[in-house]
Amino acid sequence: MPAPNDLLRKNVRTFYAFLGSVALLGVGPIIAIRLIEGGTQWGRIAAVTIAMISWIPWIVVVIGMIRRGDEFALRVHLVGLAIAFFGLMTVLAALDWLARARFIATPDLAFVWPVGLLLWFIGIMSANHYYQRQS
Amino acid sequence: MKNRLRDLRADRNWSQQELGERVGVSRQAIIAIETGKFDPSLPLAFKLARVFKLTIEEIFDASGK
Repeated sequence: MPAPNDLLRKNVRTFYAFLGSVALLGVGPIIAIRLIEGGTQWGRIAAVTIAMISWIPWIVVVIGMIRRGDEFALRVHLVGLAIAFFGLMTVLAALDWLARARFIATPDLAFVWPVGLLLWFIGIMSANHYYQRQS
Repeated sequence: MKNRLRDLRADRNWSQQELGERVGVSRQAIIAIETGKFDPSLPLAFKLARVFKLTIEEIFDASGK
């Protein structure tokens, strides 16, 4: 087990890396939208590339944070991710069929990430509550 | 899986945090094992047995799931 100072240093580094990755996540789409508004073919290609690349640091930091957890933390994240994945698949399938049946217009897929993150958060909280509850 | 972790820890006056630090896991992991809802991996079970100077079978009861 690392010494407390090493652990603190590592946690501080992770915290700043997380903040940096969130900042990139905010800046990427702003640049991408401006490029799309420019209307050129290369601008649109760059927009998609930048918007996608801006997710990578955040994904790397979050995976690193999860991997550093102990076996219980890994279990909680596994449950959380499973809930997020199957929850999101259910929502997408429902919206797809509603759109095919012409009950709704084809939905804007921008909701996928926030809903996925929300379901992940709910899954983690639920799993943690289940395992910690005395019964 | 049922276990005697809570009693063994109480006998030694160790907090959940302290036991977690001794075996290299979080306090939440110890709480989850004590509730019997989370079964530790074999390496963690060995570490727990080592800190209590007992065998795994003396701490965990596989028959009482």
